[in-house]
Amino acid sequence: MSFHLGKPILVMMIIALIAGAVVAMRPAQQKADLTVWVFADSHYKAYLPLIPEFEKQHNVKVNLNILNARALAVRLTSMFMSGEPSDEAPDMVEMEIGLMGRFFRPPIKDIGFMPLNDRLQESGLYDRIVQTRFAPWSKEGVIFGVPHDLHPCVIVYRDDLFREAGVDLTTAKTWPQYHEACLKFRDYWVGRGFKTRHALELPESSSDYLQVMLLQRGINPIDGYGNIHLEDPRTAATLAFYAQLVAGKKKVTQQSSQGIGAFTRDLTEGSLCSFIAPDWRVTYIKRYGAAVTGKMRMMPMPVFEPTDSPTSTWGGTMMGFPRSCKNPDLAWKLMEFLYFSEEGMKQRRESTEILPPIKPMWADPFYHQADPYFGGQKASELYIELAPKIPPRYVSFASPVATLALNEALIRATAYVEEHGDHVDQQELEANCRKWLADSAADLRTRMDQWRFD
Amino acid sequence: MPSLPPVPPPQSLDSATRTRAGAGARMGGGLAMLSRERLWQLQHKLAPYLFLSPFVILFCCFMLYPLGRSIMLSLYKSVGPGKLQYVGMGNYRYLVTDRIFWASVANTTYFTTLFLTLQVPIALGLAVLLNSKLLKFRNFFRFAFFSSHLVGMVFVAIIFGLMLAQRHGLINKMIGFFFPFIGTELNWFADPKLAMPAVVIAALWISVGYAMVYLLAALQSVDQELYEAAEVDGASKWQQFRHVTLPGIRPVLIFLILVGTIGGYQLFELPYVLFHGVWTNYAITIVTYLFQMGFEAGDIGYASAIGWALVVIIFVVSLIQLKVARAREDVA
Repeated sequence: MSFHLGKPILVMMIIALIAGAVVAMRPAQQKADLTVWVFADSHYKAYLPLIPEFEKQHNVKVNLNILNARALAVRLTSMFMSGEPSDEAPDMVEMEIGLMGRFFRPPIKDIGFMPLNDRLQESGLYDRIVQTRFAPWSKEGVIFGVPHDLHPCVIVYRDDLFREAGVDLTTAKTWPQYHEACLKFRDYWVGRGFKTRHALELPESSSDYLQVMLLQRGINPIDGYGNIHLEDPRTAATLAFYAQLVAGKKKVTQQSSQGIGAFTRDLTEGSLCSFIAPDWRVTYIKRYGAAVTGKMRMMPMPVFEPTDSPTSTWGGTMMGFPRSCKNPDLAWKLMEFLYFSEEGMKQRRESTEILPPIKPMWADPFYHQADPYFGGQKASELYIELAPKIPPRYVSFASPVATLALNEALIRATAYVEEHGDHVDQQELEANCRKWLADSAADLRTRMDQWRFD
Repeated sequence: MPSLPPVPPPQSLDSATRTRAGAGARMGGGLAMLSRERLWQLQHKLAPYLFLSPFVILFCCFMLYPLGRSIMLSLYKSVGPGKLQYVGMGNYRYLVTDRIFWASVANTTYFTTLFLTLQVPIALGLAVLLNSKLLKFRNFFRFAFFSSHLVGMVFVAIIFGLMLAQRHGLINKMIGFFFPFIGTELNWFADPKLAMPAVVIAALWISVGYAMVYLLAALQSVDQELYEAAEVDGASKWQQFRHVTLPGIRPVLIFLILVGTIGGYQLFELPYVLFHGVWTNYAITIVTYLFQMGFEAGDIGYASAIGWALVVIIFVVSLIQLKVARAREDVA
């Protein structure tokens, strides 16, 4: 048998026909009363066993889908922007804090999510949830999401290695004291040939952790009303301090490699010996870093001034309801079931260490037991103690650019510190930081004016 | 429905229609024959358009209309295509003063220059080696070098993300082994000086084999008699390479540089995946910035303006390259 276009073309045509037939005959996802999009694997695993129970209780069909966080945000942005209702559009969406700002660019009436102030008040959730946690999901006082978590931060450290170096980290109450302790730790281990043993995990050119420190001081680069705080003198002082942690002669930090696998390897090998840890991060280090069980401890974050918070917040998730939601009442019930019901809390406790945002739920004995991973320390109790003190964190459509501006200032500050070696003039560095941040703030202001859509 | 006979060539059309018309008249169906004749004439005229129409329709829907629409959108401030505010040339005016845009232009130009400076010589070197008659298993090596081009950019970015990781990545471990004074902690993704070279390394891995195949084909098509003549004239191997080989493969070199330049300015997937979509001044490229503006900030209008600026940049750079190549050709 011969085919006049040649065998390769024939094979390709057969493959195309088979593939086309398979795609055409694939059963479509069953039409559901509610479609839920989530991005976190741990959340997906926690919710999946709960869905049949909810379906039975309400005699409905629920589709729970997991998407990559960035893919989820891009698809949702496109759906909101097109303005056309789609069968594929979700009724409920979990959104990550870093991806939320983009949805706040239009005027409030045009934001794709439903305002939830009334529902939160009516359900009583508004008074039960830690108030500062509404900040990331709000624009000009209008709340667009129900917080899933609080994510207070602590310092987690390799107690065995710090002890061996003769350093008691718990005595370090301020960041300068912490820096001194880390220098002592560094000198001890470098003296014994451990050149890649670092006291603290911090990146050199990304401002994510710098922003965690700024939040301790109550500083958001952009607040909930669009005001820029890069020119706050405390921002410059924090930047100057941070630059000396991550660069120059007094460097005590190193960055972790990409991915949780590499990070836990750094931890177990003793390459990175302390780090800022919100509750979600503890879930991962316990799961993948079992080799250091009993060797870890945690403590509140050091502060810059007595008025600063001994904790911060890093990361976060909300449940939002697109305006195209087919059945908002049913969707609200599902959210309450997944987030705050007894069954939902049980699932959450089984799959993560994440503290719920509702205070009365912290009374559960689960949150008050000794944790062998932390040498018998009651880890969750520390998080509970710090949770009411988490500072409000705001996000804005210009947050990525504000982060970029801080990154740029940080790169300049670290270059300055590297350049000046032993002779870093603290006042000159701070003055330079103020200038760089002022430049960035001016640029950011112009950009926000350009982007503003009223 | 019976199949229609093929359309005869114009010379025979008259005779054919005359024959048919005559036969029709004899059958007493003059009017019917006339309309059939017109139908044939119409078909003859319309056939080319009919055959072209699938392409034209697709081109209009998916190329021409979006291009026209993007020009219109670039004159608006927008939150998606539905909510628009007319700003005239406002987006372009802001673009000229936008520091991030110029950082992205600088990064992209740096990437393209470094990439082409390395890609063409490496590919040429490999092609010359593979063209050697002394080499065994030539087909195997040709496939091996080309095979990296068969995998996707995202896959390459993920692999290089792991290979370039601090302390645990293969490349850093090798650097630590051979150059202990550098160590294993080179931070390819956070050090502004190393970020774009990291992207170039990944881009070279995926594209050198592809360029090599083109150059190998070009090398094999150089007239062997020219080498013989050069040898008779006493030319050394280097002189042969310089005065016979290079002029012989010149069109392919120009093609590779042109395609590499356009591809370089359109760079997106590698930095986007390697840097996790994070906004960084030192690794942002023009298309990454366009994507972030359009799909993350939701300003489709400004993203369209960036897109048209990219068109102008690519056009100007390509034009300069072609002019330079042509000028050198004239000199030669």
